[in-house]
Amino acid sequence: MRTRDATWTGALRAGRPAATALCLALFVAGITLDDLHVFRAPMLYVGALAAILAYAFAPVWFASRVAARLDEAPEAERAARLDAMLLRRRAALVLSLGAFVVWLVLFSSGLTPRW
Amino acid sequence: MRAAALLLALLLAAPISAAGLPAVPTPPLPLPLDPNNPGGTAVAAAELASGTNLTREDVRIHLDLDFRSLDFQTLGVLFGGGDFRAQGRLTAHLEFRAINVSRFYGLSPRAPPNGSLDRAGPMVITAGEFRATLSAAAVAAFEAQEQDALTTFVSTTFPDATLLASRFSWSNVSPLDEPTPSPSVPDGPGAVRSPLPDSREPPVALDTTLDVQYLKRESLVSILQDVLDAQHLSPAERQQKLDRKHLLDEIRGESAGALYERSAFDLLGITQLIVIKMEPGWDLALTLHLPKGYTYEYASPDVEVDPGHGSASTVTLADSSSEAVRNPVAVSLSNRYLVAVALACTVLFAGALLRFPTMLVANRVGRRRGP
Repeated sequence: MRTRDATWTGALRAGRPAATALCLALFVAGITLDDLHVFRAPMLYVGALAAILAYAFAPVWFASRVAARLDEAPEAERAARLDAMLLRRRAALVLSLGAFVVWLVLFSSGLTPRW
Repeated sequence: MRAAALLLALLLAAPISAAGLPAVPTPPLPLPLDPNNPGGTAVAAAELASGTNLTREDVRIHLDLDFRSLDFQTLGVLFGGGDFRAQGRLTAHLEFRAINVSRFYGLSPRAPPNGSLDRAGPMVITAGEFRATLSAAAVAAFEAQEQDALTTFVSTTFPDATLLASRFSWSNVSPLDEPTPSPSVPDGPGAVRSPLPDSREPPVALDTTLDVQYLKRESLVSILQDVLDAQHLSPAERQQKLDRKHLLDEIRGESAGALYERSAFDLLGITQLIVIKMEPGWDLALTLHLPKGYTYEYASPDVEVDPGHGSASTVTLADSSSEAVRNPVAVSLSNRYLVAVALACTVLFAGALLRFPTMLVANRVGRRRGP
């Protein structure tokens, strides 16, 4: 039972950075699509709402998927796989933050066409 | 004192101008004399002879407002007090070819009704007459006083603004040795050059450069106070706000209400409404430059925005109009960097507010049920 608890807690922890990265990606996509007028919809609001929902609820969704996958793995491997996953996802978050800053600089300097 | 000097000069203007003119044969009047308005017919004949409009003003203004910096100490505002600082340079080039005399006395000029020649109000004084009476030279001689007056005006009108530097430069104020030839009548088979010199050319010009700094200390409390005060508007202020909104909607047209027609930065930008009113005969070319980082996100059709979106210009021409031209334009400004960062922080904050209870519930439920 304790192993299951630890797996779920670990999966939730690993889901947080992934959810944050997804939130940033949705936010950037929303603003960029809005600015490029790709769709006849207020993509700023769509992107922002999707980003908020992703930030709030995606960790649980990711955690349930990870936990279900690890359920079939041997108990001895679970902790190690969760640690590795957490490390990978934190690295992905750092990379996405860097990409966000680059996008911010390029976007605010007028790289994308307007109107 | 200056007004009295100008009045004296104007009284002397007619004989001096007449004396300075070369003796030319008077062309026959092609207009039938209107017994009800002999003055108008005479003016029309004089205009035909000189090739210029003697009753309409001719003033051209080029304004260039360059915002050098716009700084806002966000953290300072949140924690106590922060400065809002704006610095800009206003460069103006004014050309007077003909101007209504009453403007010098602070009177409202009486424009000719329907642009007709039946003008009962004061006549215009041309650049040549202005020079010939030495009034232009006199005005130019008072540059220091004009600068002082402007400094006083800025400090009293905008208490938070400081005039850092000002420069006045008058040109074409001295009487000319050789009169400028009259312009030929444009187009038409009978295009002829009038034998009379063109007293409007070259124009009396004023070049002005003003460096202005606006500095105001703001805090969260004062901003909230302003917002609360804005809720208690007087009926007149409320009406003014409504008029502004209607005017903006009118300018924007069909795209006013449709969110998808407007970009995010336009929606979140600062919309500025500029209502330019030009008297008949007045032209204005206005250019606004934004500091680095700020962009124009929207501009009404009359405004031309450069490809970099850092500057915009509009031209209001009333030179050939018989009535005052009103040209309202709207622009929307934004700082994409600040707006995107602020939006991202808001999204993350809102997401965190939702995430906290979600994680609590997920921890409890997940542990109970297991993966």
